[in-house]
Amino acid sequence: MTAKITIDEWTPLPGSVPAAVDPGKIYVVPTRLPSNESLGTQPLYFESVRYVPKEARAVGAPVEFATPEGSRKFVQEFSADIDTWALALLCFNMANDWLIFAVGLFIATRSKSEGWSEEKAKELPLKVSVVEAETGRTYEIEGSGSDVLAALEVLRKDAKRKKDGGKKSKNNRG
Amino acid sequence: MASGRFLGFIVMQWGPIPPSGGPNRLRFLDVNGRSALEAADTEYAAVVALLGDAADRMPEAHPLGMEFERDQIIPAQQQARREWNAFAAKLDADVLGEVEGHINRSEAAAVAALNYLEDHELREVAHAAIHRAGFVRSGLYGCPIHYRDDDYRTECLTVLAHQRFGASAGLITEFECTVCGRQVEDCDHISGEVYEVEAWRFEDGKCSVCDSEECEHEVGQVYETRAYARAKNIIAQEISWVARPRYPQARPREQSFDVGPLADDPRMRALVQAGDLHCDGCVGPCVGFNEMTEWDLDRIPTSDDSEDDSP
Repeated sequence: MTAKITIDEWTPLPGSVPAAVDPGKIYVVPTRLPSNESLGTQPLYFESVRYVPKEARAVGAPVEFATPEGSRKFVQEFSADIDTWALALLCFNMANDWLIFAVGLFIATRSKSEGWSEEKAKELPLKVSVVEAETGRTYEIEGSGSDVLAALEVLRKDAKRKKDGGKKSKNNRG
Repeated sequence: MASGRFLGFIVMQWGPIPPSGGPNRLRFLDVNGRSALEAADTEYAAVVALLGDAADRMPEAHPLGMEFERDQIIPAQQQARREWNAFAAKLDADVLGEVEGHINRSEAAAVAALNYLEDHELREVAHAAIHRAGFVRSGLYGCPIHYRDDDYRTECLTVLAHQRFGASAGLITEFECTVCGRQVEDCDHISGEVYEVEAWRFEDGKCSVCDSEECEHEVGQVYETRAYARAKNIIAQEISWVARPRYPQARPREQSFDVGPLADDPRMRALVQAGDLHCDGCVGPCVGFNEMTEWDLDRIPTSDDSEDDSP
């Protein structure tokens, strides 16, 4: 595994995360500032994430946008130069099983729109930024799609172990 | 680095948005590029047929790839111009009139082909097709310089095709679902699927079933309709120059033209306004591409720097 993980260097844009976070849900976070004042200050989503929550809803997965319906804006950029796919997510903590699912879904929707096979799509460069609401900690994970998914699995197991360990030690004390 | 300023751009085109990358984009570029190349060849063949025997006596273009010293380029252009003037003088005016449309279309199709095929094995074939058509078009009809809004300008397709960059628009767009009218990301209708729905009218008066303003669909009646994302409220956020525009034809359409120290001379402007000043660049040898991929972006002057346009 060769994914690069950076902790606490990324900061979500002001207004991009909800005040209350449902521990069971994953939120797609906007990452782009408007380039001129007439568009206001509300952060923008990239077009590439527009259908991720919709695809998730179709299979009953709890993935939604971080900002409410009616306020969201999506920016489409018409260059063919983008070589790294990027996605920013918010979860209550890294132990959430749907986090890896959401990233997998993003890879699948992009591969469908560009015509990659599932395996080839996982070899392409990907950057996933995650903000963990419980701790305020942020993660940036970069590498091939499959390396990023593997790194998220390691982080998930680690978070789960800490969570379970916390519960056990509480129980022991009781 | 670009020489001259670019005064007009195509930013987007009507129709489906080209794929951004991956195998779908490669297929899109390949299919459209080959088709444009075929159109360029067909139109050029029509030119040769119209010229008949005279086609064999056309001046010869400088071979692509042949290197010229800087001081050899203008004499080569002048020599070609003399040869073309002698050749055109012997042609029938009706033939000249018939050829013009075909050669213009051949050049435009060849430029379109290069825009699709710039990273393809057929790139040099498209490049050669541009010079083949540009050489004949400029040879027979010249390549006029225009003057507008205090700028001397050229719209020469052959010259502009050597500027390898394009425009990328950043747009904020809302897409509404044609079945329910909600934002496509918020409803559960699947694009491409057929649904039975009551006909209704969008805010702009267009029909939800067929997207036209005047139709036979009655509001409230149930029809089968295919779900798709209908763009509305498009706001331009920015326009950038990129080496590979998503719309392959989103390229410069006009470039400033340096006429030298006589730029402010009223006689020069009168000459241009009468359509009598021509550029012979495309009857001369190819001077190569200006590739944005090779630009040193840290050394591009900003608007605060000098406005010197020299290359």
